[in-house]
Amino acid sequence: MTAYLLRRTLRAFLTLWVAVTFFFILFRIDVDIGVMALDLTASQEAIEAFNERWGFDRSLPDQYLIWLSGALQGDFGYSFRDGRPASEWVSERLPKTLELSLAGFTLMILIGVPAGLMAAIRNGTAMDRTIMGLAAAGYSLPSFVLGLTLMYVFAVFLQLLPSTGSTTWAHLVLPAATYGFTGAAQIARYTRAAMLEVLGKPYIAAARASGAPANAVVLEHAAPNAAIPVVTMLGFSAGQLVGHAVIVETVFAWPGLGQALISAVANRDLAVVQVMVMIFAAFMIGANLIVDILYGVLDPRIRTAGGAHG
Amino acid sequence: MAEAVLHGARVRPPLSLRLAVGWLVLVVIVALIGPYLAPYGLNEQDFTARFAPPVLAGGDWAHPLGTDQIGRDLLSRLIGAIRISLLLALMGTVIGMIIGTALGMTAAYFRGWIEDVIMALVDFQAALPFIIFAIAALAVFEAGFVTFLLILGIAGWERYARLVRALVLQAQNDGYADALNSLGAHPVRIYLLHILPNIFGAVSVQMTINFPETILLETGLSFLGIGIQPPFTSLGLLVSEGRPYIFQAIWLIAFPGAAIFLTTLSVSLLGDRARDRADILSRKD
Amino acid sequence: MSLVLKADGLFRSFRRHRFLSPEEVTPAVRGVDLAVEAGECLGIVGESGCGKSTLGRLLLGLLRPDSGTVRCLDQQLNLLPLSGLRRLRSEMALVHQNPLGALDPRRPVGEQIAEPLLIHRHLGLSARADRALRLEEVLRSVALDPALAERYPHRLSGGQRQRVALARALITRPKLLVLDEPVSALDVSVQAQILSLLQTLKAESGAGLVFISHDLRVVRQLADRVAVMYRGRIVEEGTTAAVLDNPQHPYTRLLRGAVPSLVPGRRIKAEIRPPADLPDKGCAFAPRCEKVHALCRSQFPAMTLSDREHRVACFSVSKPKVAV
Repeated sequence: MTAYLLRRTLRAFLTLWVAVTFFFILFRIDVDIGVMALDLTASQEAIEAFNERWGFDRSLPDQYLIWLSGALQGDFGYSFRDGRPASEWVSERLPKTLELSLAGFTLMILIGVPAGLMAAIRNGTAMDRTIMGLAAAGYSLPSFVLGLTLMYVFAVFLQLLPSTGSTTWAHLVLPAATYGFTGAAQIARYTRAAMLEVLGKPYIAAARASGAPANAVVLEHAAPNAAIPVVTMLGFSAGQLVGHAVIVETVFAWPGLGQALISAVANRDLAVVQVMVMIFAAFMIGANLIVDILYGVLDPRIRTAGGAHG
Repeated sequence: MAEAVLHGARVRPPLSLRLAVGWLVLVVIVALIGPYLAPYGLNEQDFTARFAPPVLAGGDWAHPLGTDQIGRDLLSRLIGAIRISLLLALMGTVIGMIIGTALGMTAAYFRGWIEDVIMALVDFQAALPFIIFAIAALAVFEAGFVTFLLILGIAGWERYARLVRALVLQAQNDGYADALNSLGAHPVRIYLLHILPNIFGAVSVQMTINFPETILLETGLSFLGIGIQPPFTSLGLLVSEGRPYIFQAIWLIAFPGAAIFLTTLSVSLLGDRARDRADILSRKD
Repeated sequence: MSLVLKADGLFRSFRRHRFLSPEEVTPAVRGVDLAVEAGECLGIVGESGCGKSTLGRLLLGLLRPDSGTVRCLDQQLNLLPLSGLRRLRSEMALVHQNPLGALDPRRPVGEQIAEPLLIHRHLGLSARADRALRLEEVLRSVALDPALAERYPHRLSGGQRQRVALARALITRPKLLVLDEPVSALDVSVQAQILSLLQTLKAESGAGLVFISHDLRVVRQLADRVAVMYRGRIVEEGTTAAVLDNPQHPYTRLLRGAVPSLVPGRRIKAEIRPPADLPDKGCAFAPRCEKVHALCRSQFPAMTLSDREHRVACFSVSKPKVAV
């Protein structure tokens, strides 16, 4: 088991390193950064001064090493716009994004998992079809459309909740709900599928035949076994949150990393973009790693296998 | 077993499927001949008719879906946007399918280090949320039509590659590829005439999953302002342009948003159905 | 008496790469010499894992040997360019144990039987009329109702599918036919039919046959000569009567004894060892052998050169009196 964990962690770091390097190269190929960051009317001297100041006149491997050594010490470069360290941007915005993501993720699970379970247990009934219909709708609805709809209904029409900004907890409701519904649809589908698969297995029929009450069968026998694929799915969803973060934060003007990323892109502030992109990548890789670990804990086959398999 | 249960439970009332097909037919017709039916140009402005509401909310038939802040007719813009979004999604899906299938077949045919490299790429792509990569790429390169299209194409390739590789390996395992090889058939013949037709069903199903996702990706990126740029338009761009006017002109958001939703939903429903039927068929053997 | 197939000194191992671990090497064929003449059927028998399937593929050039040569119809396979090898395949065919897998599930069987004529256009029979004619001929020779040509593989019975596979193999009139456990997956009654069909075909076509099986009774019916294989090596070879009625090698004796036989009371010493556990030198059968000497563990016995009728690779035969 420990061998398994070690392998997975190693792999995660490897992926992270590859991602970081990949983005590093992506941001430096084919681009005359000086021209991009300043504007087209900038003089040649201004561009050269800029390049020298930010180190873009060195060779690519040099730049990489400089950046990497800096990054390992927490220095991720500086914003072109205002000269602030990019890490400051991150530390300002990250808590906000985490706050929203956590709220959204919790909501997603609270809605999605029970819905999926319910649909599986009441398989074939009107409730099942309704839930799955809603799930199909939720899955097809782009998060920005849902967000704007919620905003319209609750903030504009009913005037119940604030539309943008993030000062009070009331501001959290709509964005988190947007996350929640969009993500819940996917989770409900997967939970239902996993649960149905488990319910079809012989040991469930045996448990039922032994006269155990239906609830016990579900909770003690079916649910734990369905947990494994669902956990995997949740890990995947956590990674997807990243993508949604960008959109939902933009819709609701929530001052998080996602929104900062978009404005940095609009401003061609590559240093900031680079850092944020890497943060998001790290987040997703981390989520996958946690899923792998949980998988190892939950799945007895891996726990007892002694890490012979990878 | 479980799949039989799944299938039984997932049988949708035919009505929703008929509606889905109907909507898609409408969308395709609009995409094909819409520009000839559109009453106004995409960017035709009319300052005397700003913020005209749609017909059922107090407007008149001159602008059935209303107008925007500078008087552009929403119906015409919607038609143009549907064309572009649909075209991008379709082409993006096809590109992804071609890239993924080609790489999947290559990996399965050559095995060895080529396969390792390709699968490492697949894993890498699967480990990252694609939208981040898209944003990064669009930050670096100009958001031209072709660049954007390529990015959309790359969005799903890894799933095709994985799927195709597994299917080809299975085909090799099944034995007919091997038998044909022992009869002296050229690998190209084996792959094009025998393996490809056999895996095409599964690949098509994957396309029906991929297509709605591509629509969502494209509209999302356009909404964020880094996708399609004016003077062109896209459903996502329409929504983002209507966003500041959510208080006074909700129709500017509602109609494009509904168009995205309905199209994605319809394709998803049809795809689900196709997948269920494919499951049944494959179990008949 | 022309040689259809001649193999010399074939060696082949399989390597398995594991990331960060030493490479696993599994030897499959360890020094095999064979010859097959036209109109003759050579049976290769052995238990599973002895390398006979690998040998079959080596003989057809579907696998490259690590060392050694295969000559088919007087052409050395590893000297041929790929396109030449493919052309030569019109003269060779392989029939597998699992006919359903060997057929494309999406095409009617008639099309698949005729496909080799399209693959090998140099035979000049690719025109539709020619194909139809030849198809009819070959269907008759395998006793398949021509009406079945429109059917898909999964709608045929096991015996019918195997006939289809045979028909496809025969349509180009190959001079070498390798059959790898062709009847193992079939019911006993169907087995008999296919075997008698194969006998007829052998007589009529004059092709050289290689029949690979683990079942001695089946081999006895069809093969003119038999080679017994154990762990990648041929341990005994000769005419069917000689080898099967008068086995000299302890392993052959064991095989024959394993068939529910007419000699009651015979104790069979059969242990199963995992294939990886192969002794580096000496006879691979030593651990299980009832006549083992010290010499057997250190040297591999060479084949007795006596006569073509019957050759054995065993110290108990070739050096009966060895001082320990």
